[in-house]
Amino acid sequence: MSKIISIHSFRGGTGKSNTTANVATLLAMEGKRVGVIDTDIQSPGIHVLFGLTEEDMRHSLNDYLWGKCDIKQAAHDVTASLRAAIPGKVFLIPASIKAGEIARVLREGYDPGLLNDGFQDLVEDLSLDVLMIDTHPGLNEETLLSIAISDALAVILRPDQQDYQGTGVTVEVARKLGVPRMVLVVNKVPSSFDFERIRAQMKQIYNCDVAGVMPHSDEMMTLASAGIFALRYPEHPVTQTLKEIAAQLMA
Amino acid sequence: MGRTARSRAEEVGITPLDLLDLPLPLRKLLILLLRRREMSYEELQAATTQFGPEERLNSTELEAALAGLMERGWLLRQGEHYRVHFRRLDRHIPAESLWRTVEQPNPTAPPPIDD
Ligand SMILES: Nc1ncnc2c1ncn2[C@@H]1O[C@H](COP(=O)(O)OP(=O)(O)O)[C@@H](O)[C@H]1O
Ligand SMILES: [Mg+2]
Repeated sequence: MSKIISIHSFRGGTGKSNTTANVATLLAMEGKRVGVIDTDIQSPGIHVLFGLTEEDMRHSLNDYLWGKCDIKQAAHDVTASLRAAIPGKVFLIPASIKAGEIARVLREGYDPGLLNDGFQDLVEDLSLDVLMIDTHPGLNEETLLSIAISDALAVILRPDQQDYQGTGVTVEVARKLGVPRMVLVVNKVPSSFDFERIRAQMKQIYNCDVAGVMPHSDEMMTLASAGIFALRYPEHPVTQTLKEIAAQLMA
Repeated sequence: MGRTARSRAEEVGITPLDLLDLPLPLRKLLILLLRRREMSYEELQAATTQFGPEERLNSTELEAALAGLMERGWLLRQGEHYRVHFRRLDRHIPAESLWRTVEQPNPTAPPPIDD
């Protein structure tokens, strides 16, 4: 059975795109066929992690939403660019990074039914085991749709008072939408913190499983989204946690 | 299709935000339809009887639900199959309506983690 997994956070910069790209890669390393779609149309970014440039983007999600191409034509096989022994596949559906095309979606809107059809078509046409949806922070219509049709949702937050409140909203909305599986990921935790205590605290506050607590990592900061952390630092504690998150999302 | 007819057709239809306001059984029904994309009455009937006790619909309730959703323009029937019909999105949902939809206040922020 194929799975659709959304990665969300109420605020930006929490690590959604890095978590999505790394979990996708780790799953492909286990032999899975993984799709990654950038629904952060207003501020796309995950293509950078896979080394996809503007010139490489034959078609984007924007083109699909404007009826210019099939969703499959916007899917880029980025497996080879990972330069690692990967038995599975990673397909990336980027959102356009052209200013005019971002502005056009914002101005004209689009048909959410088409976005849903795109998700479902990708799973079928590319025989995906997993489709991962990288979302825009906060709650907007495409995020609500993504959450509604997901089998699993990871909500990422930092140990920050601003993140705590927003996370409560997302968790509430996801419960209303009846997502079968929801987990929290706490990211960028200073290493001086007691990780087990944070895990227990978050679980209690949100009444939700915690799939992983990731330390703030200088290596991750330094990599600066220029690649897939788990490939660069396979033995790093952050990579171990990313593997746990992948397993929890597939459970 | 003429331009006015087209824009009228785009004015009806559900938005993802509307899903939050629906009674549980209808919400569950529409989300299932989104996942399957389209389903026949028989498929819907088979699926909805498998729903949990609070979401289950018997045949009469299912028929009423489908009729009501079609009436609102939230469902379309093409031949034997039902599909969810979305309204074209104008960007940016008003934050206010979202907060209203989430009736429960946020969980109180925990105390600072480090002591
Ligand atoms: N655990 C971490 N430690 C240090 N930096 C991190 C960590 N996780 C993410 N980052 C950095 O935070 C920034 C935002 O990450 P990103 O994945 O783009 O977040 P989002 O998609 O939620 O906006 C990036 O510069 C990334 O390298
Ligand atoms: Mg991002």
